[in-house]
Amino acid sequence: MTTVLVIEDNEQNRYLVTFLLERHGYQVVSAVDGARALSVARTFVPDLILLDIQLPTMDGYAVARALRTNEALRATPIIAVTSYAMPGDREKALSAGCTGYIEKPIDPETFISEIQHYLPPTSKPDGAGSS
Amino acid sequence: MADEGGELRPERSGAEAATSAVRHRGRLPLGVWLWPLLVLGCGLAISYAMAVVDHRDQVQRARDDASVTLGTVRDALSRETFGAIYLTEGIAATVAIEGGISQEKFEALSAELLERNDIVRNVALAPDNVVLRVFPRDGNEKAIGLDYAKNPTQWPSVASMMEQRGHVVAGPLTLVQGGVGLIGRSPIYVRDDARPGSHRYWGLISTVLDFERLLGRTPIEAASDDLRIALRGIDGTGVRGGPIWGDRVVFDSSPVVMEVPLPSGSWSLAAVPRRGWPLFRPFSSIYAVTSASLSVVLSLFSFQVLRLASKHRRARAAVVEREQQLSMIYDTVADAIFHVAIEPGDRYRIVSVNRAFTRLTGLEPEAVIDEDIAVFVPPESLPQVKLRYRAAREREEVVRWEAIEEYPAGRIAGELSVAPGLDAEGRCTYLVGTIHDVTERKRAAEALARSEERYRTTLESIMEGCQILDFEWRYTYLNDVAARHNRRPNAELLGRRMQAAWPGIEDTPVFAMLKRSLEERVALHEEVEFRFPDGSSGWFDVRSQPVPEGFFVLSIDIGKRKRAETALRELNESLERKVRERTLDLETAKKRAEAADHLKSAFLATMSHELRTPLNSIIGFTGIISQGLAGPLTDEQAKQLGMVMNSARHLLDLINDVLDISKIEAGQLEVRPAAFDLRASIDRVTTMVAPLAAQKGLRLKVLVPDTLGSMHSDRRRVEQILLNLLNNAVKFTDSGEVSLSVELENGDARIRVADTGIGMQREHLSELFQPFRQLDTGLQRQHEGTGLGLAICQRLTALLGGAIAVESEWGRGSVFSVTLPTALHSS
Repeated sequence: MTTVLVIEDNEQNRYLVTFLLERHGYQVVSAVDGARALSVARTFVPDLILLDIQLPTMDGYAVARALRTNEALRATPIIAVTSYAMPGDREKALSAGCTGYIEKPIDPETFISEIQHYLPPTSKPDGAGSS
Repeated sequence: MADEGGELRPERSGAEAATSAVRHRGRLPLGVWLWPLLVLGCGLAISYAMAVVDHRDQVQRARDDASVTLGTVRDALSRETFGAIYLTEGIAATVAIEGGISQEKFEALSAELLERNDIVRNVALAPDNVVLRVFPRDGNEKAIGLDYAKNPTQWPSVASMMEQRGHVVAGPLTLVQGGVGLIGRSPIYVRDDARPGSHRYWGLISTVLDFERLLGRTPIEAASDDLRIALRGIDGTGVRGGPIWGDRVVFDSSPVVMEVPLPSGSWSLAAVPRRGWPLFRPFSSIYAVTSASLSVVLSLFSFQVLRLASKHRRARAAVVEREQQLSMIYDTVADAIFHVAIEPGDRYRIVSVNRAFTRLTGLEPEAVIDEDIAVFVPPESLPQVKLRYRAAREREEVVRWEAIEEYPAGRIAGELSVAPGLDAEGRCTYLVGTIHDVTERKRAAEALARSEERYRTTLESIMEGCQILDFEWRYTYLNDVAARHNRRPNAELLGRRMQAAWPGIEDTPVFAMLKRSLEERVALHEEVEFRFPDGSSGWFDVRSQPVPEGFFVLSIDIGKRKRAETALRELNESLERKVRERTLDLETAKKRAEAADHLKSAFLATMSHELRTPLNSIIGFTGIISQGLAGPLTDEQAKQLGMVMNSARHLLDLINDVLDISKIEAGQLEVRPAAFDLRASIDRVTTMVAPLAAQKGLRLKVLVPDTLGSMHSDRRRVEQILLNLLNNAVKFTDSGEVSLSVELENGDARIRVADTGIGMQREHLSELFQPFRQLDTGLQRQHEGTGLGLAICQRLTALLGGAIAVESEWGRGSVFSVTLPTALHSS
């Protein structure tokens, strides 16, 4: 089963993404801030990481850089999911180590297909839903 | 002039004479050596020949003397030998007549023979070559019975005798009986009875002669006092025979040689003087010595004569050369030179003139030679000139004067001189005059004086201070203005050194400049403030210029200008200060404005973020519920959720548009040009618009050539423009069609979006691209939209380097045209 780590401090958003992913057959683990995210990532070694940028104490760029120092997560896709839409945000995210960038608000109709784009073909969830 | 020449000339000619003497001693002509050597050589050769002839005479005389002495010896030798041998003829005759001889008769005849001639030692008779009788018998018995034919030593002589049929002499040889002897043999022939009229060989008769006694009968003893004598030719073999007597070396010492005739063959007699032949001693020949001495003397004499002749010739050539030189000098000097002969009655006849004379006066030599000096001296000067000539000859010294005289050639300012010329006895018989043309020099000197005067006047009258200092820094000239600038009278400075006149000036910049100008010989220029000893100061523009006598200093008082400049500078500075203050104010204001702007941007970013976060929930969950993920929906619920979704999407569009427009207004929107496929973008955009168009039952026409190719611009913004325009068209069109056409032309992409919608009234077109303007169409807010779409389109188009235009007819539709460059470069 494909494991997705969702790093999101906003409870509603975290619930939204988790619900969406679980309905489509993914296993979701989540963290509300950077420190916890790093520890969870070490424990579960997810196949994909969804990362909010605006986080308390440690912002998403720092979290991405920290995740990349973990040898096991060096090739794991990290997708920034953010409502930052100012010039340069996308570039900053990519240079911090992110693989992709999805602007909030997410569109539930296209979100799953967008993240599947970043996963290797073999790790599609079993019995994936209506994407 | 004459004096000058007189001093110079001996010096120069003395040096020349010295060099020419050296040159002449070094190179005597060949002839001077050759002839005396030839004379000497011939003389010595003759002397030698004379010595040789003399020697030959002496030798011949000595040989003649030797020959005479030797001749007496030869004659005696020959005579005695012949005499002794012919004595046997009597016995031989007896035998021949009688056909034999008795013992008694033989003895009687032999005894008689020996008595007559003591040279004969014995006589023997050998019929048929066998010794039969010997006299005296005593001591010779052994000889009896000797057969010659069987004796190898005796036989050759006997055989020779028989062959010659005459007397033969053998020896000398050492005798068995002792001593040295000669053996004479004679053949005896008797009448042959068997053949009447002819003779037959009977035998031989031999005699032994004592050789010592034979020599004793010759004067050989006496001759040996003066001569060394030798005899050779044993058995009469002559000069080639073996030695007989004396030292045989004599034969090798070019002796006098004589032949001693014998009855058969001969001996050879030779002699040389005991003291040798006279030796060849040239110096002992009085003739040779005299001749040699004569030739040496003659040679030396001729050398001297030739040398003197050569020297004389050279001296003459040197004199000619000297004359030519002098003549050349005479004719090439710039000064006129003339000789005058002194004639009675205070008259002076011109003897010669040089070319310069002709040039200066314009008078040809033919016109003046042999004429009186009045021919060129102007009449008014003549008495004066004659007085000077007289002074020169009477005082015997050079007289000089200056005069300006008029000659045919023109007016000449001259320095004239006349010098006395002395003859061999020291009398003054002629005068030498010179004219040195100083016209040019005079003219130049006058011009110089005028020029100096002019410059002085100029310097005195100009407005600048002028000072000239020499190389020792001494003031040599100052004009009146300089006195004003120096603030002290010129008299205080003239002749003084600058350092002494202005204590402490060595440390000032102006001194440094003057020093450099003086030392490096360069013109320099500087504006300096000079502090005077009294404490006052002044500003001067100082220029320094090297001049031959030192350097020239030009000063201009620039005090007024400096004061004006100071005032101006102060004014400037105050203005600048004010400007700086204002600028500072403005900068503060600008910073404040920038801070406000930044604040606005930050506010917008935050607002955007904060607004999106709840929208995320709204759109997200609406979507999830609409999709039935949270459970089945009734139709009514689905329809209502669709309305929520629509509103949420519109709100999001609104937020995005506000964000875009504020980014554009703040200049924060960045354009990122890159190559992209324009066709693909068009497809993407039309796909997005197609559902809405279909929903409204509108035809969506896309007219794009297949060969559209790629474009270099910001893909996202190009797509945003297309999308906005198409959305707009679909939004404001209720029936008919919306068409999009794109074509490339001259490096531009021409995009045209046409609709058959409500269109716009002319007066509204100008406000079309203003933000927050959805045109009042009488159907207020009937159409969804933020009212920002066209404003964003217009601004994006401008950012991409293009332009947007609109044509519209109320009720008929609108056409939006966008032109974008296909190759946009990053700004």
